[in-house]
Amino acid sequence: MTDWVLRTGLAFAFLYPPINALSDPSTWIGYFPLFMHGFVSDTVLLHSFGAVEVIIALWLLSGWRIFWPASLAFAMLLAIVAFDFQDFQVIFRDLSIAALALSLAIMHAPSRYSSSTS
Amino acid sequence: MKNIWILIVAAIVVIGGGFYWWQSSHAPSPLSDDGTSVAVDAADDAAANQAPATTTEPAVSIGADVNVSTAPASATVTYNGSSFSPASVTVKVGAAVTFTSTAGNMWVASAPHPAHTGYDGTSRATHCAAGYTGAAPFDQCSAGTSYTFTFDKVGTWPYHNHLDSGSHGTIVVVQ
Repeated sequence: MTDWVLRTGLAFAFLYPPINALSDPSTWIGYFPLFMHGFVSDTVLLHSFGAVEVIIALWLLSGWRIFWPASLAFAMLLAIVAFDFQDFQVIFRDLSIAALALSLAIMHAPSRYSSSTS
Repeated sequence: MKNIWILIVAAIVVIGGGFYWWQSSHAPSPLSDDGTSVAVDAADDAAANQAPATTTEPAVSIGADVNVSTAPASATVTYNGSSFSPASVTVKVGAAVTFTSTAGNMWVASAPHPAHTGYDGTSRATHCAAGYTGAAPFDQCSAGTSYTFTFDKVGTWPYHNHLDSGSHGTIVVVQ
């Protein structure tokens, strides 16, 4: 039950942005660092990133090999904080969510990476 | 457990590196220190040509009792696709500041991103909604290449590009 709550909570953090971006894209495109712009249109960039978020969220909800989506989520959240530091007053909770993701990754770490498994 | 510590160290490196990158890529432009890149409308305020907007003390004391503001009555800020120049502008209350992009669309808006409540307390969802009848918000409310706003409140008003929240600046409004 605890594991399910953690996975659902983390999945929600990755499901809300791409869903809300469908109705309010300008807000979310503003969070992308400058170096990510210009390769494709902002719309494609936004919704491609959103698709990755949805995949991570569904993978977390599936319960299958959680170490990997949790680690990806942890890395993405850290990158978001690092590259949007000017918005830290808004995104500071991403560090807390990243800690949640790290906890899930630790809980589900394959035996060759950690002495404890779940 | 050793791998967990590697993950944590990597996280610290990522955050520290990102912070360093942000600090270095958003360092104030030298032009903003002396205000020479501020475009002042001389027709609106001849005195402004003698003392363009600066980030330093905007007023000159004359004698013992008179304090005359030398801040311009209008100014132009240019957006080059990654930053606003000058990053800080000081203007008189009632001044019109024109934001012009030379590199595609921008969406100038009061801080913070994404609510834009900083100038008048109303959120973007409120003051950008169709039919809004309140005071004009410091918010472009849509993407475009030019935006002019008249500042009628004394204070320091940070703003950003809603389409790239890493691009930001400050308008200082004085009496």
